[in-house]
Amino acid sequence: MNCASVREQLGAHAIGGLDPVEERDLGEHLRSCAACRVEAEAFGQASEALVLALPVARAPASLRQRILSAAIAPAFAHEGGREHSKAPRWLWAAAAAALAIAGLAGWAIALQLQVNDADPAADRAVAARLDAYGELLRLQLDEETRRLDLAGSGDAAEAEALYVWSSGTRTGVLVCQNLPAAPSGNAYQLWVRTANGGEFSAGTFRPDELGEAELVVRRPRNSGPPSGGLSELLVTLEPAGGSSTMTGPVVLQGAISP
Amino acid sequence: MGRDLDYRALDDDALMRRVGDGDASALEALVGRYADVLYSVTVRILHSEAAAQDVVQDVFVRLWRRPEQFDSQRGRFVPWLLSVARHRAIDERRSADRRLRHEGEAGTNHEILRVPDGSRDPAVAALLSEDRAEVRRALAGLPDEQRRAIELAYFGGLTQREIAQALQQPLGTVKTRIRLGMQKLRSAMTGVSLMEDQDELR
Repeated sequence: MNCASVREQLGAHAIGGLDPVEERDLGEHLRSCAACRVEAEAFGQASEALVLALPVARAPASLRQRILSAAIAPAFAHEGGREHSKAPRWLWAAAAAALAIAGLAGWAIALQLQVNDADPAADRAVAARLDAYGELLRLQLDEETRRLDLAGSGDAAEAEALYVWSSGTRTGVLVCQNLPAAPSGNAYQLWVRTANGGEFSAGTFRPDELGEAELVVRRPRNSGPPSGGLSELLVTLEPAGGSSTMTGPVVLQGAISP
Repeated sequence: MGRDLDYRALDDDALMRRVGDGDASALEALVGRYADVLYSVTVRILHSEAAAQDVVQDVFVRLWRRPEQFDSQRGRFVPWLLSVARHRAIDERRSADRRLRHEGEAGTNHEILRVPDGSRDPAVAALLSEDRAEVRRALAGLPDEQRRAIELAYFGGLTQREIAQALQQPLGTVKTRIRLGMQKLRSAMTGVSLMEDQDELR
């Protein structure tokens, strides 16, 4: 191809109008002809101007939230991923779904709507779940965030859980799946075991019908870190309302590396 | 973490470097800056708000997961992003058209580009500022058949040959329309480097 015939086609080239064969021939010429490359770039910029001719469509606000939920949440599970980004995919899929419904900006509104709904118990469950996923997202943005996997045992051998926490925000979130239903009159209780052997309760919870559960742990402002540091997290089955010391079988367990 | 950083003050390349470091706020800033532009393009191509949203989401999610796909050494960010979104939407449209044809419906509902007056939206008004006026005038001045052929290629993803078939026109006629139309746009672009000044998109 000579320069004259190439330049006749540069307009079509810029808007993707050439057949594959034409495109190949043109590309060969452009690789060896700097003057035509300059001209091709000018046509490329002309094609961008076509975007300016579009009627302007305003993307719905929900789209931005959808994008951020879909992009950021699963990034934890991204293979070869980023620092502190290795939570299991199911967790982030769930978080993304919840966030897509709630929207970070509309967080409070979503909670309000849920609470105004007809079934108070279900509302509290939804509100608690939204709260947990909100904390998870905040933790994802915190560079100090650490995570711990808990493995199931006994009747809950299929269960798995993840505890994500940051000493900076004094907040942690436990997310469980595949937990057996807690028998009537019982609840699961999360325990923190310290390096010097002490244990304290971090709260109780019941899984939903799918065996999923979340628990947000907020350390009071006036409390310091446990003496001796943390060594282990455990979940046991206890009477509803919780026990003051561990009494039931351990269903989930994970050791904290120093 | 730099939460106090004003991301709006960062240019696209700086934001992309931060996206590469896993900075979610940088992605959020890019989404805020370009979601509308990408949505406008993809709605135009797909004629479906839902499908356009899916494509825009997909483009940004891929950007987050594989930020290295953008190489600032090889070109400016906005044209690259637009190109990714356009190709992605055209691919989506082709598969949708195939589905429609399979269901016995023709997928060739193309309208002619309208040239906006730029007054409706402040951000777009800025985008269409005075030094772009030449381009808009050139576009508005194109004969309808030239604009239509150009749009079928650029937003419809059709080659000249496919356009000729779709419009039942001789291939030479289509080629001439595209050549003449694009030459007029290209002439109007002289001295105007579209979107190079990114402040206008904020």
